[in-house]
Amino acid sequence: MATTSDPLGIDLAVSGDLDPNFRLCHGAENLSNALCRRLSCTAGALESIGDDPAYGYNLPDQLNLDTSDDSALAIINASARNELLKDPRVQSLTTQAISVPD
Amino acid sequence: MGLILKIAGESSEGDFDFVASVNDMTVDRLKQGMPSDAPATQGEIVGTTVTVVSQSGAGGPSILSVSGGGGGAQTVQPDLDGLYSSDVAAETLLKQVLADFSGITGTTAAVAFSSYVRAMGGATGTFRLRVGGTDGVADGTLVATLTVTSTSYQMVTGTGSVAKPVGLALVKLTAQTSVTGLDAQIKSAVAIFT
Repeated sequence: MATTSDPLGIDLAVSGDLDPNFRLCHGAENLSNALCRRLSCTAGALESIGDDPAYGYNLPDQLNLDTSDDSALAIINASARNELLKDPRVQSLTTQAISVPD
Repeated sequence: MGLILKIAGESSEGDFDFVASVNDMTVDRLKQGMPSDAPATQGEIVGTTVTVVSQSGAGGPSILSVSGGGGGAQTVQPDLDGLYSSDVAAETLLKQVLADFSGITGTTAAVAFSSYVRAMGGATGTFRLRVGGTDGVADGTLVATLTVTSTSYQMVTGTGSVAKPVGLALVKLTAQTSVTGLDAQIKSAVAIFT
């Protein structure tokens, strides 16, 4: 990687799972991965290790809701957006939650 | 049913967008740089929210430092730092902290209230600094007000004064948007009482 520093950070490429080649990523990819991880973490789970107690919104847990219901989908969408806006690298953001058949 | 999330945002390095897939265990980034048809305006976003986007330190009330001393005039600077957003048309409490006014001399406390603020989509954002009132409620004595119509952050300053509270009192930061669903956002607020 030519980039040795990046305002959006450099980290291991982890999206769902760790890249088998331990590839690094930076820029928008790194930011996007970090945002995905926010949505995989249960709120408050990091508090026990002394990290940000406000980090996290567990989106997979919301799959138990009836996402065919517009109001449930609206709540999920708003909650996810709120969580993503906590990342200090994000200046503004829109989200669109879409329910898809299994 | 499954769930996907289309995300489009702006960072200090420019626009970004991606699609995330939600499965039973994780949220995976599916695609970067999607042809985005995500909502283009705040008005298209479903849900009505008041967002504490970020704030330093723990949330909730806290005792605030009083600076000065040494025989000189003291100031009170409540910790109002953070990034907050509200798309609610009613005045809404964003943050409250306890401040100790006992070090301020005289019967009146003057305040300089400054922050970076913006409002989305042509709405007017109104941000108020209040003192006193009920815990957790957007009330209390109005001390200073900031308004903004710009969609980019502007530094705005207001001044005011309030009868000096006796000892500890709540200092509250509230927000109000003129159009429900269009965000009024505030960050890096500072209020200095003298």
